[in-house]
Formats: sequence, C-alpha cells, structure tokens
Amino acid sequence: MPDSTMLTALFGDLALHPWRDPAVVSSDAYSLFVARSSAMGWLTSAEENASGGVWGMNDAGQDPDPSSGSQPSRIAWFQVSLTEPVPGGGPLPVQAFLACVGDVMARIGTSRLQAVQILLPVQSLAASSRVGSVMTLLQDAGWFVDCDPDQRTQVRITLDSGRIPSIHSAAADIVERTREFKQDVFSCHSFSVAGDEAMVLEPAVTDELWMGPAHHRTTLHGTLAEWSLGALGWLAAFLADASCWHGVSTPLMLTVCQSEGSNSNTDLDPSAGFGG
Amino acid sequence: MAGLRSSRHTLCGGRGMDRPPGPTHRLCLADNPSGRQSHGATETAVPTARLGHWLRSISVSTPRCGHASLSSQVFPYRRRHERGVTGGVTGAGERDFGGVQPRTRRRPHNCSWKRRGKPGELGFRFPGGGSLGPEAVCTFTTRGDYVHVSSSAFEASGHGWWVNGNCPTSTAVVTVELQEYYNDGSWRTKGTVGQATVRSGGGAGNRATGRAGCNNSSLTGWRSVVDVDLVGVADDPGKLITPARNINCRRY
Repeated sequence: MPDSTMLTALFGDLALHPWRDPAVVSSDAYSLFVARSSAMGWLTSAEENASGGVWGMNDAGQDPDPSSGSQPSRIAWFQVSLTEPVPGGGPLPVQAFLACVGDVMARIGTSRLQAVQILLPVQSLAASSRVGSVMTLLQDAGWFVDCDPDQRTQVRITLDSGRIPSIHSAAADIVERTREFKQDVFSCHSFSVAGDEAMVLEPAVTDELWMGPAHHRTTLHGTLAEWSLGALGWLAAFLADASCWHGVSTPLMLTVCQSEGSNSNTDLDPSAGFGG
Repeated sequence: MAGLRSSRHTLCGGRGMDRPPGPTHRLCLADNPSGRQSHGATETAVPTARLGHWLRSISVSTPRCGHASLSSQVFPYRRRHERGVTGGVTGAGERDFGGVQPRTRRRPHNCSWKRRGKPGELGFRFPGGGSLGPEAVCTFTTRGDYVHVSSSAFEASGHGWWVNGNCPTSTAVVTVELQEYYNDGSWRTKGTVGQATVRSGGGAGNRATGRAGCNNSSLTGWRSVVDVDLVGVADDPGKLITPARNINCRRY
C-alpha cells in the first residue's frame, strides 16, 4: 500500500510578481509552502516526537518556463505525506492543502489556473467513519454559500484509480452521493466510465507513487460553485470521501479542468476562497 | 548581558547531556578564534577546516553486518497517537520498538559532550561540566523533510537545510544522506549523499538533496540524516535524524 502521499499539480499560466526576480529571490515554492504550512499549524516537523500538524513536507517546485511544452503547462506542484491517519469523522485535509498552495502561488505571482491534478490518498480514510466526515464537509460547504452565481463553472472531472479497477464499480454510487447530500458546491450532470478520453497532463506523476499508470477512470461533468482552489479542495475531499465510502481503498488521481464555454481562465485570487 | 551569560551556562553545562537531542543546535563559540584561552575559559575554538574534518570522522554510524540474508524491511513505526500502545504497525519478523525509533549513535545537540578525537587533536570541549568563559552563544536549526518517493523519478528523496538564529555566518554546508531500514534493525546509507553550501532558510537553491534510486516498490522504511556545518564557525556534531517513513521504494 502506498504511503499517504498527497500531491497537487497546477496547470495554466503564471505571471511572476515584478519584484520577484528569479535570479535573486531567496524563496521558492518549497520554502514558501513550508513557511505557510508551519504558520498555519498544518506542518509536522520532520523530527522525533514532533507534535501537531497534518502533513510532513515532501517536495514542491515551480516550473521555470510554463509556456513551453505541452498545453496546458504545469506551473507548480506540491507534495506532502500525511503524518497521521485521518481522524474518524474527518475528511482528507485537501482543503487546507490547497489553501496553503493558493497562498504560496499568490506570493509568487498571479496564476491563471486551467487544470488541477490532485493525488488523493484515499487509503488513509476509514470507510466506517465516512458518515461523520460527510457532515463535516457539508458544514465546510457553508464557505461557498452566496457565491457569485456568475462564477459557477462547468467542469470536467476525471477520477483514475490506475491499475486498480475499483473506481469503475464505485462511480455510479459516488455520483449518487453528490446528489444525495444537500450541498451546492458541486452538481453532477453526467458521468461515464468509458469512452471519454483521458486528460493528458504532463509531466506524469511517477507510477509507483499511486498505483499508476492512469488506466481505470471515470469522468464526471458538472457545475462547480466557483473556479477556485477552495472549491476544488472541497470537491476533492468530497469525492475522496465518497470513493472510500463506496469501496475504493487505493489512491485516486483526480483531474479537474474547466469545460469549454465556461468561465474560463479565472485568475487565482486569494479572495476567491483559497486564501483565507 | 548577565542573563545572557547565565543562559549560556545553562545551554552548555554538563546537565545539557541529559536533554533529549533535538534539531536545534545551541553552540558555544569561542570569541577568540586563535584558540587561546580567555577569561579563564578552557575551551578551544576550532579552526573550521579541522573541525569539519573531525566531525566527519564521528559521523552517525551505519551498522554494517554484512550478512547476505539481510534485506530491507518495512519500518515498524507507530503513528504518534499509538505510542505506548502494545501492537502498532508491525509485520512478521519485525522488531517492535515500542514506538521509539531505534537510533544509531547520536550525540546531543548541545555543546556539552566529550571529544573522541586523538590526543592533541582540536575540538571544542567544555570540561568541568560547564565552566564557561565569555564565549558567544548562537543558535541555528537543522531542518529536513520526510523521505519520500519523488513524483518525477522512481527514487527516494530527502531534503535538508538550516535556519540561522543568530550565528555569525551566512552559509553552511548541508549534507543529506538517506538510510534504508534492514531487518536486522540497522539503517544503511544508500544512494547519493547530497551536499551543498547554502544560505539559511531552505529557499531557492538553498537546500541539499539526498537521492537513492529504487529497485522495486516494496514498502520499506527510510529516513534521512541531515548534518549542518556552519562555514567559518565551530559548531557541534549533532545531526538531525528524520522520523522513519515507510514508502514504496526498496533499494536493498
């Protein structure tokens, strides 16, 4: 069973703040993420008898030239490992993770997010405690109440369980769970377990980190309350929770992008829900 | 200033030996780089180059049993909330360490320790259990992250850096070595030791990275040993040993 690795990669465009000359800055995505995680109480120091925190730092990076290569281009990535089993009644800490990522990105520049990839350590969740966790998520959904209706965004979502086919049998139930519970963050319109092309985002994550390569997947189409890391974090936590509840016990690679014709290329703005 | 001096005595006295080692180094720096005694103190400032050599000579040991039957293993660590509970995450044939990570030889991260060098070799030492002179005291912290499988290559990876408190230097040589856990309870250094002369803070270009390619994805215990040698300043030989993590990487 893989370690409880949680990873996200952001794809799109990044305009650095003019005062951040790459040749002279002394901070980077890694150090900023460590600093912010520590300040917010999310970081578990890598030392004996460390207390507190949710994740331990693994790695992070900012791609030097996002404009080259494949489209959309990766602009940054962040990797942590959960330092505790997720407590009963709690969802995966993806919201905090992406909030921290959002803070870091805002520190570096102005990002225009086109797609996000998140490795979800679903194996760290215990199916028996998912009733409590979904209630926690419903409470968290209050953050998105009264969002600007014009910011609602059509999204395409892929959940990939790699070499393990479990996502296929769970897909219908996962979608049903998004409809069963009363929330307005995400509304699923349709899904499929075959036929849709995979979203190709480069570079690919090492297979050994998550039971890859990408193979067994389901695709969902729906509406997200807003195109922000905050809403994406909530969606990711909810889908991880639902997947666990319906029998998935291995890592999932979640990919979300905006569907054509939606409010595309919204700038990442801390006030949009991921900055606090 | 009196308070500061008192603090120095507390930091560097013999009682410090009883404190559990931590990543924060509290250093006693002789204010006389020539090594001459001053104000009755008996400590000797260590020329940086020689100290560096000396420290390397007492690096954290890695047991080498050499038995062909030994193999890498899942490390039976327990989650923090499981400490003190019988059982925990153990596997067949594994030793139960009671939630305490077995240590290779370590030295306390303070300056109250005895040198192990040859007679006549320089080192900094505080005999008499903490009778100190007017040395400067400075503080820095050794930092590292959890050894992990890289997202871009099938290899174990770990970073190390340092955070300067008030030490009179701007750079330090940071060394990161990765260690793999074996079923005889030993930790063995593997892969490429990372070493870099870096500024404080762990920011852009200011980290050292240790790497070790994986031969297969069997769940195996890994940790890193991070050493920081301040440039131009004598520091203690304490090293940070990061908590063991079981990751899907086995090198043998």
